[in-house]
Amino acid sequence: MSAATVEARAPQRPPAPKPGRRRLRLTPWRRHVAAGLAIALSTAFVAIMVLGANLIQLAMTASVEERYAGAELVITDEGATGAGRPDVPGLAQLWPQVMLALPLTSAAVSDPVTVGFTARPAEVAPPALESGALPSSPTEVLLDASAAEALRVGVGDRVTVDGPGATAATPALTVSGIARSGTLTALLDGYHTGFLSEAALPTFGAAGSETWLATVPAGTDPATLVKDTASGWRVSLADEIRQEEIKATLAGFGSLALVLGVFVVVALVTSAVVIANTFAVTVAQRTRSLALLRTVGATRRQVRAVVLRESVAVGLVGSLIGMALGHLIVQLVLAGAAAAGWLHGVLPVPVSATSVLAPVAAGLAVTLLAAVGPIRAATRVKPLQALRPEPPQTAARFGWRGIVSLVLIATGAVALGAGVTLSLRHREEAGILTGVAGGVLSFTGVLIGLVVVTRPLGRLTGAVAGRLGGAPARLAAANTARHPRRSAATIAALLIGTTLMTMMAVGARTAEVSLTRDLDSRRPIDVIVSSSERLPADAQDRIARVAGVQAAERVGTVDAAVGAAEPMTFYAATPAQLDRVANRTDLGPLLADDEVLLGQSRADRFGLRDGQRVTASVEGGGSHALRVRVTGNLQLSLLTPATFARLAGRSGHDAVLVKFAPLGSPQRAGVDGHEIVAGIQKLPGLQDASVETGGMEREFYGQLLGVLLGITAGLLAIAVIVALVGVANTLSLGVIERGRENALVRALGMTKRQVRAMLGWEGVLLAVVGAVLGVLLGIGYGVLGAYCLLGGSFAVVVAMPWEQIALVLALAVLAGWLASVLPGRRAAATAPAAALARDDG
Amino acid sequence: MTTLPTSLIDRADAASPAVIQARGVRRTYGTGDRAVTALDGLDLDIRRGAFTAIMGPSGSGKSTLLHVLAGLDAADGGSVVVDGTEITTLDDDALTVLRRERIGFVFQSFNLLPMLTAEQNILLPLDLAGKRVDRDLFDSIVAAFGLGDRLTHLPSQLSGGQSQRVAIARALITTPAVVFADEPTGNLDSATSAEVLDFLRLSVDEFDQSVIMVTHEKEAAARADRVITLVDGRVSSDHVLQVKAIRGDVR
Repeated sequence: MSAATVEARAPQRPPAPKPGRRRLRLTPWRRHVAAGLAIALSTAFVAIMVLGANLIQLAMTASVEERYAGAELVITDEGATGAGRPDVPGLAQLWPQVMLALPLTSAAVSDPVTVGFTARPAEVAPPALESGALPSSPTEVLLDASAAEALRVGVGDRVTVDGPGATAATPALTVSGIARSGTLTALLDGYHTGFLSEAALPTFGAAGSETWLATVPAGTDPATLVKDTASGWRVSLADEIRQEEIKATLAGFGSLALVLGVFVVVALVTSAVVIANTFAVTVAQRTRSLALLRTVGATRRQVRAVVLRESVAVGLVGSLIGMALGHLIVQLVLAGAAAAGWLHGVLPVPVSATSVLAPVAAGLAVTLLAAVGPIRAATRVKPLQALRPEPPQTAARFGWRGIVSLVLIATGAVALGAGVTLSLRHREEAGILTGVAGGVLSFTGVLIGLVVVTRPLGRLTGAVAGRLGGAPARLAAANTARHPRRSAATIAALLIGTTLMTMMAVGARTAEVSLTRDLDSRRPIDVIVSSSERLPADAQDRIARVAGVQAAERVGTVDAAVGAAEPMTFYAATPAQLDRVANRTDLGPLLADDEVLLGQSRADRFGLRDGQRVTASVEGGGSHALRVRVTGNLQLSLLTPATFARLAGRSGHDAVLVKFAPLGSPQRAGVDGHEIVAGIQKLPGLQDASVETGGMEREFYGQLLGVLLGITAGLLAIAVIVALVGVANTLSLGVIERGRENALVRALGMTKRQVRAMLGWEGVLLAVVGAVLGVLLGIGYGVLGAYCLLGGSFAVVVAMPWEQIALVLALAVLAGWLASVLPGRRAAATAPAAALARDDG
Repeated sequence: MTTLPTSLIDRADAASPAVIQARGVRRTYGTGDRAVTALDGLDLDIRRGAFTAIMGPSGSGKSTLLHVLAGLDAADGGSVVVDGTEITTLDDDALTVLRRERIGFVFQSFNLLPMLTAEQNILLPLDLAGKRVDRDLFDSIVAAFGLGDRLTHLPSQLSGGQSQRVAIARALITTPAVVFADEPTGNLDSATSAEVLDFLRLSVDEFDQSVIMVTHEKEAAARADRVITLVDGRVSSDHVLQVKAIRGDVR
């Protein structure tokens, strides 16, 4: 008999309902959209962070892999013998670990492209070839696909080494083959690799190395060769070295991961607050249904099960959507970056077990955590409440909540102070930890105590709003004050985001100003160009004409022994010259004959004290007594020209001190620090000059902090968006609740526009309280945080990014209004006749 | 109910104009076989300065009539003129302004906004219109309704009767053309009901209001000047019970 016939024969009876298994739904799914959205956003964020960490790990591992590719043993020169090859017996292949960066040009490309060459023997872990073969002679090279593309060469073409080190003797090289680009090349723009034979290394002056890599013959266990030889070579297992290096580089990123983890936690906590609020409100609105359930005979456990089931469903669905969304976004970003040319080739998104499981686990955990309170409230609903009307919500009294809140705030404040003190006393690690603990404690205290101050704060802002907005604003203020718990929760979610954003902005600006001030005083010269040979006579003028240079001054420089292990480099300048090229203006007056001006840490480094008399002696020349004068943290040793002449005599040479034009000035349009330095290095006679760049560090700080701030603002934006979802949700739930009231005011004469305005004011009031409090707290935390982080090493200069703070406030107002648009439309659509709805029909 | 001689009624009618005139008002809900005709070509005049009661069994359309006359719902056909304005052609904003300025409402329950005090509730229509309060009028209404010591209380702190008094006071504060009361005593016990009816009567007698009360209680209707009965969406009877003294013409 076929299956179909069997089915047709079976009696058509509906399955008997199993007791207790009926699917009770408490709330229409629409009400959970906001909670689901909050969870999805946060879990997407978690997924993105995990994927980002995977990408970084990929890059780190790839970097280490490249350096140790194919090696089974690592042989290091521990004895500083400087002798050529290690004399370790029993090896199969031996090659030096070098990454030789050669600037190459080709027939088609004359701007040098830097390619990093390794000298691995052809037999060891040969790279995957796209075309051609491995180099078989010292004049052949293998390029990776990105290098070949950049140089526009193919197999058989010639490339020439250009730039410093190239002499007439440097041969042209033939491309023997093209290899597939590795992961690192895909990740880093401008990173090209290649291979050449070991025999070619001496041509480029890179024959020796302190580290050699080796393989062992087949069948030999590498571990048997691990030893320290008598001649000072240490043989180690390559695998062990690889692990150590990966661990070391990842450890450096450990703190970065911690910081990123903080943002994830922030987003999750904000979601938790929003979801808890959503669940709380929907439970409150379903009190009658819950009470009816209890009256009809549902036990507490069954009620709990109903609410729990809904919470888990919301959490699970939201988390899965968020996790998928996060992966999708990262893949799109990678594809977009490839399309924009920042990456070579589209990388597949680095999915891992963590990237899939962590977001879902986090989302579920957060949802369940957030549901605890509302579930408890649901089970506490008494059956009698089905018949009695809902009692008005009492004002949150000060009570235990206020006490706990005050205690937490006070403890947190004390901890913050302790953290600052610890940092100022150079115990930064302890200081940062204590400071962070203090911040978390005090902020938790604020969140807990928020509900107590919500009503008075609401009344205050409401009074102001009433003056501005008339009746709709006054009604909005009254509405917001009705449910202090709900308003407080909504504001709390927003508070998290705005406090952190302000804290980051203030902290970053303070850090930037402090670090720049410190840098200005430590390394006041942007670029110092010096050479062991004589600088061309017109060096100063030529340098001064390089795009982006504001001033250049030719000064004398000499290295002299001052009784320390290393010689000290002196520079001579007149006050006028310093005024023109230095980024601090107080040096000129401090110069005096027969004195050397330098900073405290530099003095410490050379074992000198303020006021000490030291004799500086120049090699092959004279000596001169100098009095040490210490000022701040100056990292240069300065002399007057007269003193310099007496000290250096004929042994001194020239240097040129260069000052960059200020960032943002027309001179600097389109020219960054690197290009200025490159421009200087291209000048004739200056290719071999050493260029010391303090200026790029200063601009680097500014740019780095700017980028960091942008990233953190972006990361925190997630939390703020989640909070705004919370605001919209609170408003719309309120509209649902106040159906009859809205009908009443419409009947009494409130126009649709006035109703929408009322909702708008509600949103704005919530957002403004959250933003203003957030800004105030953020300023406090930002300043104290800067002291904790930097106070031990730098003088902290508090700087307020007023324009960014104003932006936060303005955006908050706008966002609060935006969140009200949809609920406002719904409220305005209420039919006034609904006010006449009678209970008896 | 005893009614007055027709001649008296006619002279009273001629002396006081209609504050609401409804002609051929039609209102149908639903479509096809499920269509329910709530108002079936109804004609009605409501006299100014009188206390009119509208009665009828359930399903007679009296609630719908109230909605339509008050501009809370649009009629499907016919015309309704309130205080000289044809309201069937007005858009939502104009209707809202009309309700705000020229109509007062007293509902059976849920009259007041729970988060506003009694005083704020009374002044709400003026607030919405952005108009200034006539303090003398406010004081006299408050005094007449005995609400002086209740002004700062929230609705949750007021009894049922006090809430209704506040609602009536609110209805009067804008000196409207007409006050609509929808089963104002429906939720109250007999003593409080009597009190509320007294205040409605007061509004008519002392504040010169026109009050239209929908009710199903005969005792409530007996306090009115005129009782209109609806059956199946039409006026079935129209009795004048008493006539206010008007310029000494009628005693």
